[in-house]
Amino acid sequence: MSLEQQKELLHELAELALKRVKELGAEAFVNADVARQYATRFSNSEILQNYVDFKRSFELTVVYNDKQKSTSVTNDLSKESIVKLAEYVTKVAKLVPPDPMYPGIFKEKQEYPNLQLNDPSAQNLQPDDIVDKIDGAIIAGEAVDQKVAGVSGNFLLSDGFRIYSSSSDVEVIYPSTIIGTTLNIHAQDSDEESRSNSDFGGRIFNKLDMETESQEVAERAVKGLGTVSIEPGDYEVVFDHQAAFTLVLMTAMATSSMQLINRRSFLNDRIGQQVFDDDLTLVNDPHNLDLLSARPIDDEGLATQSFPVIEDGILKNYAFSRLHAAKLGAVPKGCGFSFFGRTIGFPFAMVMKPGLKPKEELIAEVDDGLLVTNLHYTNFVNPPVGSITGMSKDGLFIIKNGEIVGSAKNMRFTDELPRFLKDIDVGKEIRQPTSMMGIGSMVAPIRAKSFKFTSKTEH
Amino acid sequence: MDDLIANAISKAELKGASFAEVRVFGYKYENISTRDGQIESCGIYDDRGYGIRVIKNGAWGFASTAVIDESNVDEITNLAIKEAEATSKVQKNPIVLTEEPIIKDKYKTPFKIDPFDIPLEDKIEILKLSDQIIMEKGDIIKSRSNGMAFYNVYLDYGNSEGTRITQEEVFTGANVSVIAIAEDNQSRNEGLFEMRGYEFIEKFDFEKTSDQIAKEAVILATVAKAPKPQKANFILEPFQLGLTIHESVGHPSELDRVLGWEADFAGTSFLTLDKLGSNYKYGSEKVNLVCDPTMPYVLGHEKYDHEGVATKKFDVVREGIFKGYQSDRQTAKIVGLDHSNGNARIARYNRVPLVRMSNLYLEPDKEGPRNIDALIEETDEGIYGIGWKSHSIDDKRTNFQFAVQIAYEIKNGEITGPLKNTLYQAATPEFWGSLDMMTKEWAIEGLGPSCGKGAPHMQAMWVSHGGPHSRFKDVSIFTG
Repeated sequence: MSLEQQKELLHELAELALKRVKELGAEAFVNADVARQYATRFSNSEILQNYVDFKRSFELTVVYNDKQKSTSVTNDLSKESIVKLAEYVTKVAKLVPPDPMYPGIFKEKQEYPNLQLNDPSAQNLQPDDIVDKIDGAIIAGEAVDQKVAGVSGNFLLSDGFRIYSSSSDVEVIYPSTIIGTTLNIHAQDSDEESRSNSDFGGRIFNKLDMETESQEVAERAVKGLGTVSIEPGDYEVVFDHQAAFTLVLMTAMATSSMQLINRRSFLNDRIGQQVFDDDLTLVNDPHNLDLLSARPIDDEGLATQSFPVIEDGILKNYAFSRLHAAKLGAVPKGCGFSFFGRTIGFPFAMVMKPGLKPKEELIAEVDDGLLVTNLHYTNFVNPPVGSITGMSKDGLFIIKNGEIVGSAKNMRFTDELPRFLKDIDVGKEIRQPTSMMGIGSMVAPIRAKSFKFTSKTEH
Repeated sequence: MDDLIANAISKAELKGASFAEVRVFGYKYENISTRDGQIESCGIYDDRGYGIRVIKNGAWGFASTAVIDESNVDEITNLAIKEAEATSKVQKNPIVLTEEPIIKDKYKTPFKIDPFDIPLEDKIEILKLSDQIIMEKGDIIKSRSNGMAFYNVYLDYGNSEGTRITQEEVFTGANVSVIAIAEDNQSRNEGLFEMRGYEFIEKFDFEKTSDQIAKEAVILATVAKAPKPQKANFILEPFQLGLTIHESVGHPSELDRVLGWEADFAGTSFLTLDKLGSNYKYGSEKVNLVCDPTMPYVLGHEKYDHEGVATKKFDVVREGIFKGYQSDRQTAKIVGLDHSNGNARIARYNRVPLVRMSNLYLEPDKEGPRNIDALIEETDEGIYGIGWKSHSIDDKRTNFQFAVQIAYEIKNGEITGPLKNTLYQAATPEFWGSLDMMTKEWAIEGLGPSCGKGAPHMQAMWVSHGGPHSRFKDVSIFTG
């Protein structure tokens, strides 16, 4: 079945489910998607596994008496299965106790933007095209230096359709192509190894330049050789794009209504306050076509919209689901984000306002500090104060008198987001490191005056 | 499914595959959860399909579909072959697998009560009672949540060597979580899984657990103190010990990581190939870390892995010496082993198998103190840490830092007071080298489908870990 035929099938099945639920005296909405996915895993300059998958997901939420809700998911897109699903979810919705705060199914008429989110040529791709692209990246990376010992990474191209359809006569179907890839290049010199990493992506397969990216990653991996052990402590640092992305993601988590409901966010009750440096501006911008997480509609049927999350360092908005907004007396802005039947508010399309200085200038202004290219296994330690911990990874470079003079062995950091993001400069170049689960962000490098490393490693 | 599997294998062989395997895989999950007294989620996630993996011209190819029907076997097999052919054009080292016994078997994990047969109303009633017990602790409780989750996972596997297996797993999880705010904002939760049916809900004992968790959340928010930075004797209970095993022993001993196959996402390993067979000292002589998926009822239990290899008990560390990796058929062959250790697993039908943990634990000390009370009595000064709060470890799995939910200060063999925001940081071999005392009593606890590995499609796997209450010397403790 072609993707166009599957799109038509989604429409028919959504109609079928909504009709059956209505017959049973309830209302409902559907979030469903189909996609052809080409995926590749490669390591040590060799393809480990190429595979193709036809993703299918049909999530049905039934609302009974405006206050009782149940959600279930199936990937069986037969008519029998969908009718069975509709009957089951309606039965459960009638059984669960009412939630007096649940605002019922979304019924307001809205304008949904028409976004061009796909690569029309993607449907003609063949496994050979993917292999050629990856092989090109491997060859380009290996050619950089004899010390390049291997090119590793992964690739995913997902091309298909998403649908939102509800009992309120709303139906939005849109095509979507998402390409995400990671390059991790390994350099070796006698007994020492160094790695460098880049997550990046795009929508148009033919425009995805994996060769140039591979060369840059390989150069950085070679520069990472010759590490010296330095002592943990307070350092001035420049966070490159990948590291900055992690920090933005952690900050975004603290603006999620889930964290507010739990009272576990360091940003709780801080709207209008200068929490961060006035250089920091983050906008949730889901109509930005360059963002892989761009979309016209959220998982609750609200049109997505652009709004400032942090403006000149001042906290401006949280991201609410409809239920959380009702509980907290707020207005939701199209940030409903569902997974496994739960819906939270999340600013899934964050764009950082760039500064004026190129990354080189940020580095040039550091007398004695570090360039952090990537962070690994970053988690909150104590969410109410915004403390996080994690490791540097894939290149920690020593800066002396404005120049990179060598690389350091990795170190652990433990620090508080509102502390070290209070005194920063934001760089000029915006990039989009990809992430999983439909959350994206475009970020610039960040220079922080003070960042606390708390222990070290031997690599 | 026999016809579909046989047909796909036969078609793959006709198209030149030197090896073919088919997995029909179903993953059904029922979740009921409440937050602050209201149902937060309630429903079923049902995902099923089949995947065909082939080796042609020395390269892997894999394709899958959610439509379990013989009518598409031709198309899916063709796609898998096409993927292998495309890869083979650039393949430098042909794929070779270990030789494994041919198995024909059917297996179901044992359980008493099918959780999918229990009326939803009964499940909701238990959660409401749990919530009520927590609420009774007063206004200091600012957020409450709880839930139960039930899984049915089946695998129908066949390969071109003649192995043919069906395996069905039923497992159950339960959780309670409380946030209390007074002098401080503190959380406490308990979430456990076992490879059992609905009978696990009774074992979990929502009433007792809810009461205990809520009381401890109140203690944390009111009277608990933060520990001073120090080097201390540190006692871990089986769950948090299990998490420490997971991160500092489980992941570094996965052979695909060691070979660099996870460098782009999960990371690599300090446990490099030169350490195998070299008497590498992983820990003190008391350290015996064992992988044993054959144990029934623990969450990582499986009779067969997802390449059709019988699982087995084997040592990762014995008397402090590193003994062996977790492996699958391909990685074992690469490093010259005769057989896979049976650690290949998938989380969904449309994913390729990876080397995954199953049930990895620390053996108890038959000569040690009987239980935690006796171990505390044996401890002049120290800290006893309970429950997972936060975790992080570097990409080679040496430098880790974990936080426990609640800890207790020990002086002269007695608990003297509660501690909050307690963190411990260590390097893997030094930490295991500092293990000096363990109890006779021990437990294995399940972590639900939450161990993430693999890119571009991360697979969340269910595993179990544990051991005795264990005491480590001179551990770096601080607050944060």
